[in-house]
Amino acid sequence: MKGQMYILEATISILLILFIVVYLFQNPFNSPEYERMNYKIKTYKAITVLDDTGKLRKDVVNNNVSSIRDNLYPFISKNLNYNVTIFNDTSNITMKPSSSSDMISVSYFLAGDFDNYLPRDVRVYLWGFE
Amino acid sequence: MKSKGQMFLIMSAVTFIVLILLKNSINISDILQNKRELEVRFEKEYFSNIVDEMKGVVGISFYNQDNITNNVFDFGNFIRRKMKERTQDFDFLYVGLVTAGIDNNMSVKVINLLNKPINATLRLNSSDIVNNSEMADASSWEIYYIITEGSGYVITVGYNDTYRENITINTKINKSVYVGFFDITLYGAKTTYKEKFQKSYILTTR
Repeated sequence: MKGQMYILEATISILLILFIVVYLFQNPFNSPEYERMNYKIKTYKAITVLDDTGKLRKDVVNNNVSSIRDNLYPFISKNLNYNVTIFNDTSNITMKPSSSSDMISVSYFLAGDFDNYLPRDVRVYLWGFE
Repeated sequence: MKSKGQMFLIMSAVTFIVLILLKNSINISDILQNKRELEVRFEKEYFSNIVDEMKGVVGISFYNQDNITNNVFDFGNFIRRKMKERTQDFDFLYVGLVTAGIDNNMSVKVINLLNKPINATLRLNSSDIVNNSEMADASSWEIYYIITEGSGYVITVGYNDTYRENITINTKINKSVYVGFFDITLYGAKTTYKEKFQKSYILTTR
């Protein structure tokens, strides 16, 4: 009887330890910086999709940021604010959003469109992270 | 003997604290590792964007043949400035070869955006004549070779006796041929990215 009790106690102890270990390690880590880096990659991928369709180059050459913004809409998380600014060599040539402490940006470089060399830096700004 | 129960309590508390510390330390290293991996992935994407657009400049300037190499030079400068804004270094060496297909002339233009002055050298095939030029950073150097249209040539570009690359061009009679040699390096926050390649184009006129 005493032996069975020891086995029972040991089993309960092992179960307790297992429960604590599983509980502590089950949640994946979640860091704001990690999350933002993920958003950066997702946004970059979204811009490359627009570039592959050929829409982006035309819009950039025409400084049509509202069209780029609309085309990006399906790819951007609904809880985030975002805006697009086009830069030439030295400065922005379209409106830049006022900076916010939690703002991140993703750049995409373009050399222009066919037969129209026009180097541009298309920057997507994202903010409003929880 | 009376304190046996208290000892168990203390031991369990210590075990619990050790487990939490262990969990936190693993978490932090996991976070750092994953963040690093993501940063490298992002920089890699960035670099491929630069390389693709560098190649793209030639295609974009296709109908304005005189400006191809100048546009590559300008775009290299553009990227370098943009990278400087991000406190990242960008090194670029470019050689543009062009033949008109009609005049037995080949223009070779070297662009130095290596962030340092170089003593650049050019050699046509295995000729004994080696042309050289002291090139400041952000400068270009152009020379012309007399060739036979329709033949193949190897241009060896070098600098500071430490760098040597062969560039091949197969010229065509009555057709303009353009060859671009790219050596692109981006010094990322974690890793250095490098691409070295050459691309040939048969140019058409509009």
